[in-house]
Amino acid sequence: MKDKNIIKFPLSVLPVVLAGVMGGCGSNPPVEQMSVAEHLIEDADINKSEQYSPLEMRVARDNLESAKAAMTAGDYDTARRLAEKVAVDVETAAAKADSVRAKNAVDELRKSMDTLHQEINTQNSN
Amino acid sequence: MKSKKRMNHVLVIAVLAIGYGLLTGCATAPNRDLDEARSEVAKVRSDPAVTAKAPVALYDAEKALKQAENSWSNDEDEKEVSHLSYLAKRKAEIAKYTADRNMAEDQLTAMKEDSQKALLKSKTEKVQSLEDELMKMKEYNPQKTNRGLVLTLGDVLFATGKAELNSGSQNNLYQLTTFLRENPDRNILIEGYTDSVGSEDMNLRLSLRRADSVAGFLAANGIERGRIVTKGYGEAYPKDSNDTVTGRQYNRRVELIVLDPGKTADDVRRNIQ
Repeated sequence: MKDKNIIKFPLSVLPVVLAGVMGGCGSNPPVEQMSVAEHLIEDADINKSEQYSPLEMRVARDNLESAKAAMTAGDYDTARRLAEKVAVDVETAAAKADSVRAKNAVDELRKSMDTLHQEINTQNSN
Repeated sequence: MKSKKRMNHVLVIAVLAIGYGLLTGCATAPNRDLDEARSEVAKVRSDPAVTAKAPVALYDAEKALKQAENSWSNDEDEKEVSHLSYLAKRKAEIAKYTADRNMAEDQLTAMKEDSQKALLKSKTEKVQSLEDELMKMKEYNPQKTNRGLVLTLGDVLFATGKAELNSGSQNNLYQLTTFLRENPDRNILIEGYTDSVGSEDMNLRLSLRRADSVAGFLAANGIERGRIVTKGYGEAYPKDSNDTVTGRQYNRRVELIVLDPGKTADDVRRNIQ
């Protein structure tokens, strides 16, 4: 009897230990992360992120919906991860849009300066 | 009895060993997402544009990678490690975009400065070239003064005692009007003067009428009225002695001042003596 107990004890404890180790202890609803994600989607600049990174924004919005569903289902880990994903994807979309716009502005200015230089040269030779 | 006890001990040790393994190194199975994150962050870390132009974004990416690394070495759920790796990869992307954007904005600033410099240079050259042309018009005795570039239209341009420009003078003035048309940003002040012969009142009026004549001629040749101000000073401000014939002739004149860029007649008006 005594010997049986020694073996059983560690075995019965093992699932709890495993659960702890695996980190599935996230049993708090990720309210803050969900809030951040929703705000970021709402505040995204239509003329910026939507225009220049439509795919990233579409994926982000889909993920937000999935996150909400996970929240409802009580799957808080999945909800948190999706919400964090939404946040970083919206940030990436905005950074990409800013980069493309700035590069476009450089190209446009270069073009208009070339035209101006041509005009000046034509004037001076008259 | 003895062998059963031994088997129990072995089992306990085995379980403890597995537990220990799980707690420490077994789940250090490589995570592909983490490897990708490491590689992406390494790329931006070694990109001089990113370190120079987006150091804060780079720092965020490093921080995110560290979080992923920690969760991996702490044996956290593979899903969590992959998730944190994804965040780190995106942060690295953001660092690259941020650097690109900041570099482009630097370029924009530099180009605008260059453009302004070129425009200024071109304007300066234009100003210089107009003044060079005017200074060549020796018949008007051009003088560069602090009031502007002064051309003197002498008495010979007018019939005696009259305000109208005679036709010969008009021919000479055409070239002047061309230059003035081509430089619309230069305003013009036309001031009439007489000698001391005759009444002050009459001379005042004649001097103004002569200035107006010249103004009318310019306007008829495409120079906007708004650019021109006329003034008559009569006998005031003689250039020469009124006691000699030549002196009096010098005094009978109209001075056409091409004002400096940006100046108006009010800026250089004389006071009535």
